[in-house]
Amino acid sequence: MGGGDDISRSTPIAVSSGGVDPSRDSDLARRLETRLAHTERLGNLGWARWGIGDGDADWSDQLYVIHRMDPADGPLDLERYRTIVHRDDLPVFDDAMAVLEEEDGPHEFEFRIRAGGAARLIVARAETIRDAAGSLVEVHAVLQDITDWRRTADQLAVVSQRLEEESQLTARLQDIILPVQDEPFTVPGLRVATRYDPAETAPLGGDWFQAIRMDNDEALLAVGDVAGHGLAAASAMAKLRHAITGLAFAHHEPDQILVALNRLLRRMRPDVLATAVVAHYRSTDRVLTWCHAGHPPMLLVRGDGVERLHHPGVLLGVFEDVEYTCASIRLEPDDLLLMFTDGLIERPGRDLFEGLDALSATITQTVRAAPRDRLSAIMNGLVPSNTSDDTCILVARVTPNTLEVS
Amino acid sequence: MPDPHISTAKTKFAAERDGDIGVLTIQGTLDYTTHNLVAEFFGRAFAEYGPSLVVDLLDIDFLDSRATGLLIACWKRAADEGGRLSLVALERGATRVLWIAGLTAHIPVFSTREEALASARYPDHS
Repeated sequence: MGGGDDISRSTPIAVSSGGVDPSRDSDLARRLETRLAHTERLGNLGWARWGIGDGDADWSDQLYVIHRMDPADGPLDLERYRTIVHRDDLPVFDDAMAVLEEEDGPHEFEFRIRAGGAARLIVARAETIRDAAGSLVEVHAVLQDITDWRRTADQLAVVSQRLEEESQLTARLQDIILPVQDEPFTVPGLRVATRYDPAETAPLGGDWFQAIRMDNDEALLAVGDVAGHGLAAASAMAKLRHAITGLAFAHHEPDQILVALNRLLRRMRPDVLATAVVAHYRSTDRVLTWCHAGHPPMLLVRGDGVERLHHPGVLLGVFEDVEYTCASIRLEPDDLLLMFTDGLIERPGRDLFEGLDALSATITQTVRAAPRDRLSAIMNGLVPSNTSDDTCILVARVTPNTLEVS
Repeated sequence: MPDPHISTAKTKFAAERDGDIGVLTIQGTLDYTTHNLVAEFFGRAFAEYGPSLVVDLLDIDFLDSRATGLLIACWKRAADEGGRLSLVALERGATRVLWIAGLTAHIPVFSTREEALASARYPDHS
C-alpha cells in the first residue's frame, strides 16, 4: 500500500503569524487534491456539475473512468448524458430531474447506463443551485458506480436464501430421522421423556436416542453420539439407530448389540466414530442391564441422591474386534435414570466428571424442591453446557405401580 | 525441514527428538477448530521422526471427539508403520475422555513423559 502513504499522513495545517506562505498553500492544495482523487478512486465515485439548458458540464476525473470515457473528449452534458441511460431506467432518470426542478435535494436515485459496451449501475446523489428567482441553474451530483457492490450483495442474498432453505430442510430431516416426542411416553415399567437440542451452528447432528417397548415387560433404552455434524453424521446416526432397534427385537443383549454396531460401522462407515450407552430394562424384576461404548456415565436419581452408573467399554468404529461386558442394577420404584450425550456436561477446560457433579447438584436441587412431576421437573432443569455441540437427553422414571411377578 | 512447531492462540505444539523417538507436546484446545492444524502437525512429526512417537497431552484443556479420532488414527498409522504411539495423560481434566472412550485399554497411556519414553525405548519390557 505504498501509494497510500501520502494520504495517510496527517496534513499539517498551521497558520504562521507572519502571513501566508504561498508554497505551503499550494502544498496543502496538492495534498487535498491527492486525497480527493484517492477517495474518488476507492469509492468508485465522481463529482459532476451540470448547467441547465446551456450544455455546460464539469466532471471530476473518476467520472471518466466510471463511464469508460476519455477525459480529452470532455464531459457529457445532461442532454447527452440522458442518451447513455438504460432505456428501462429513463423514467427513473426523468422523474429525478423533475423532482430536482421542484426540490433542492439532495435527491438520491439509481439507474443503469451503457459504459464501454457494458451496463453499469449508478447511484446518484444530486442537489440544485438556483438563481435569485428560484429557477434551476445547476445540478451538482456525486455519481457512484455500485455495479460490483450490488452484484456481490445479490450473490450474498442468493447464498443466504439457499442456506435458509438448507437449514429448513435439515431441520425437517432431523425430525424424520429422530422424531422427538414433546410429551413423556410409556414403555414397560417406565415413563420416559426425551429431548434433542441441536447445536447452535448445525441443525443436523449425530446425537440420537431410542426408547422402545420390546414386549409386555421389557424395554430398550439407548443414547448415542456420532462424531461430527451434517448429513454424514446424521446418516450414520440413522443407520445405528435403526440397527439397534432391529438387534434389540432379535433378542440381543446390550453387549451383543454394541459388538454388532461396531462391526456395522467398521464395514459400512469406517470414517465414523460413535459412542453409545445401551440398556435393557425388565419391568418384572426392575433389573436394568447396560453397557457403555465410549459414552459418558448415566446418572441414577434415588430419593434426592444422585449416583453415576458407568460400565466403560471402547467407543464404536475404531477397532476391528471388540468385546463388551454388561453391568446390571436393580432399580427401585420412583428411581430416575438419566442418559445423555456429552453436550450436556462438556465445557472447554472442565473435567467431564466435574460437569457430571455440577449436573448432579442441579438435579439434587430440583428433586429437593419436591416437584409433583419429578420427570418433567428434572428434564426442564437440564441446560446443555456446550451449545456448539448437539445434546440428546433421555430421562426415565420407574413407574411406582409396577407389580412384581413372583 | 523446519521444526514442526506450530502455535495458535488456542493451541501450542512443540516437538523434539529423543534418540529414535519423537516427543510431541500439545497444549491447549484440541477440537474441530484446531483439527487441521493438529493433523498437519502429526503429518510433519511422522515425516521428521518416523512412527515412534510419544505425545504429551498433560496440558490439554479440551479434547473433543474428532480430536480423539485423530489421535486414534495416528496411533493406528504408527502401528502400521512398525512403530508405536503412546500418550502421556492423566485420568482427569480434558484427557479423562480417553478413559471414558475406553481407549486406554488399547492405546498405551502413561502418567509421565519419563515412563512413556522408557517404555518406548524398551517396548518389550512394558
